[in-house]
Amino acid sequence: MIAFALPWLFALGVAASLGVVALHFLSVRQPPELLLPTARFLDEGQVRALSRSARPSDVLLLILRVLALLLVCAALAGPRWASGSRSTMRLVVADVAMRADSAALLSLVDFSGSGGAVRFVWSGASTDSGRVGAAATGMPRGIRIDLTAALPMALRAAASVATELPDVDSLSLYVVTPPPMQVNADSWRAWRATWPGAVHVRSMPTASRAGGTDSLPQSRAQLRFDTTGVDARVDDPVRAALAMRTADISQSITVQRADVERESIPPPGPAPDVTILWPVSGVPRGWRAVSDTSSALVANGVASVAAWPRSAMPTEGLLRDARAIAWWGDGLPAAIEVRKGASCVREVGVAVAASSDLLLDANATGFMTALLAPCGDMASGSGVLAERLDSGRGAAAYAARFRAEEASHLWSLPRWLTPVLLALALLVLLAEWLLRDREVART
Amino acid sequence: MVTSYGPLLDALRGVRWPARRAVGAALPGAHRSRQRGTSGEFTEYRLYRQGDDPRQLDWKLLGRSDRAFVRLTDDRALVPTWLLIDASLSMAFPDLRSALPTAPPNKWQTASALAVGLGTVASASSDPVGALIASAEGTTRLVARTRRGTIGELARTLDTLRCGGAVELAPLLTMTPPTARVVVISDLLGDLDALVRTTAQRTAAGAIVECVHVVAAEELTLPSGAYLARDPEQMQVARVLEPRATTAYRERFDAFRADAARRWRSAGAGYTEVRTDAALPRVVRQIVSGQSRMDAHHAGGQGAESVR
Repeated sequence: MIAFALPWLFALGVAASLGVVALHFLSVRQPPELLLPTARFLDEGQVRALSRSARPSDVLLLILRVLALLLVCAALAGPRWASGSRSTMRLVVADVAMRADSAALLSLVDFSGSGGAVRFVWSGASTDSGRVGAAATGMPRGIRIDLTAALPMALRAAASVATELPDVDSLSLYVVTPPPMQVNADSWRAWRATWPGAVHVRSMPTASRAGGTDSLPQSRAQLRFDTTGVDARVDDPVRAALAMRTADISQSITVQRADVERESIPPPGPAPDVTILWPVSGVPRGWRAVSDTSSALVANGVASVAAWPRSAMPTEGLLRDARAIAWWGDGLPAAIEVRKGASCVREVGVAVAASSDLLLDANATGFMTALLAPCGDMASGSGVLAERLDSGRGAAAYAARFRAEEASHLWSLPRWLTPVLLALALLVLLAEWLLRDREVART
Repeated sequence: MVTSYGPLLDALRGVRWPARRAVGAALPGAHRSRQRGTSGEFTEYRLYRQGDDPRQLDWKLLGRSDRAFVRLTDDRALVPTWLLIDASLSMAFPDLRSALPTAPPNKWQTASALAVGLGTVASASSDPVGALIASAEGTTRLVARTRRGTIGELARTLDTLRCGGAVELAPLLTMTPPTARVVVISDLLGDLDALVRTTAQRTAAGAIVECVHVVAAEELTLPSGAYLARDPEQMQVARVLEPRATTAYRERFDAFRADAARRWRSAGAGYTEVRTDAALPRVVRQIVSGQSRMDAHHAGGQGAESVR
């Protein structure tokens, strides 16, 4: 099967060929000859007469001319020969938590059309620049936190595909993600402009979302509880609710359920990515004590409507260096996040009674997801991103290279196809010239 | 092929071809000669003049009338008849290979039949008959003879000959005896000017020249439809034949034939136009009777009247 980089040019050749065919139907032709000794008494005039017939004249010449025209136009239109159908690769950007069950992702990919190749790009893996040095590069983090992260990853993968697999004609991008923590609109628009095609966003399959801890990278993804000073005989509803959501954890999280006086003591072992300060009782430092209830707890776009006991409220000084990740029904922060370099500390002002099952409610998913998510802050805004796009460095350079390859890709595939087609056209024209010369000599 | 002339020869039995004027000195024959001689056929008396042969004196008349008269008689002489036949390629029209069996003969067949018919009539008058046939292969010359078999030899020669090329008849006309009777059988599409000029010279010298202009019926009635007409003798001449062009063609062709008739007659020759679909015995009778000359005289000697 043959395709063209400039199909309009080949269509132009087809139209010109139709014109040639029409001319052969309307060709000027000589009437049949008659030997007449008294021909000298006829009028002198044009010995050719314009005639129209139901059958084209000089069929062989017509075939050669049309063939030459089509060959020239096909050669100049950037022909691309494919042994089969058009080759399209599906690029699936998914959260690394779904790596173990990648087969389930195939059900989200549309395989109608040509090609069946799929390449997975895992967001949140150790090689993902969205995690490693994210603060330094200004790249959006994993798609679990920011959907924008899928686009630079896709661009890098596309550049790689274009280099490694020249037979691939097009890429179809699928992003499979749980509901992201945030979508920075400016960042999304900037990166979206660099991806030339459509972006298919799919929700994570239920089965994969409920995947066990086996799918977690064991090196970093872990949930630890620092319960120093807490009565072990008392069932901790926070610990139970968090333990049920270990599947959502892609990093090391330490939950300190200690008293507020002990929160300054660093826990033993390596520094965690996320530290959650959720006192069993009392008020965290910088918070002010309150004692009432709120009708709802909103986080991550999900509202849990219930009589939530409220024990503390963050002060304004604390909010200057933090951002809210959960809100009460009246709009006041219920949990905040404070950046600590590459890690962050989340402080929660939600008092949960020992026998409460509010955290086990399905509507508390948003709140729990917001607590267990990686540090979702962007180290730099869209201004830094735009600067990098303009300079053509970093991830933007991949996009530029990808687009440059697409724009300059007017050569035939394989490269020798255009010269061969032109040579064939030359041969056909030569045959046409010889045949026409013979026809003229014969008449 | 010789037998195909049978009906024509049967139709011409008993036909004689007298010379239209007194012929010159020749062997004794059937035609009135310009020579006065001693033949047994008395013509008139004339007073004896000094120098006359005394043997021609009518002594009995001298004895009765005492006057000397010379007994005059007209000589009878033979007229050698030469058939000058055009065998150029244009005479092969129309091509018999593509013609229907019921189609009329082409110009060459008509010319051949006319030559045989006229030769037969001339031979019946005890005149020697010879032929000069011009074709692409050269000139075929049959010496004028009176013996039996001359016409058969002529017929065989004509049947075996193939038309071809473009020929000139004027040089052949000069090869005939000055006082002979020459019958030019042609379509006049060759060297007409030179032929008429030479004819005028020959008739002035005492020759009797008859022109038989053979015209194909297909030349008068052109086929319908559009064709590229080519002159077979001049293939570079190519003209478009279409229905709307036939009127002008016919006008030009009629004018050509009328002009040819006028020029031939002006040169002192007889002119007879013969169509290929004409009844040939009638044509031969008309030619030998000089009817064409009389018709032309009555018509003022201007137009060409086709014999059918």
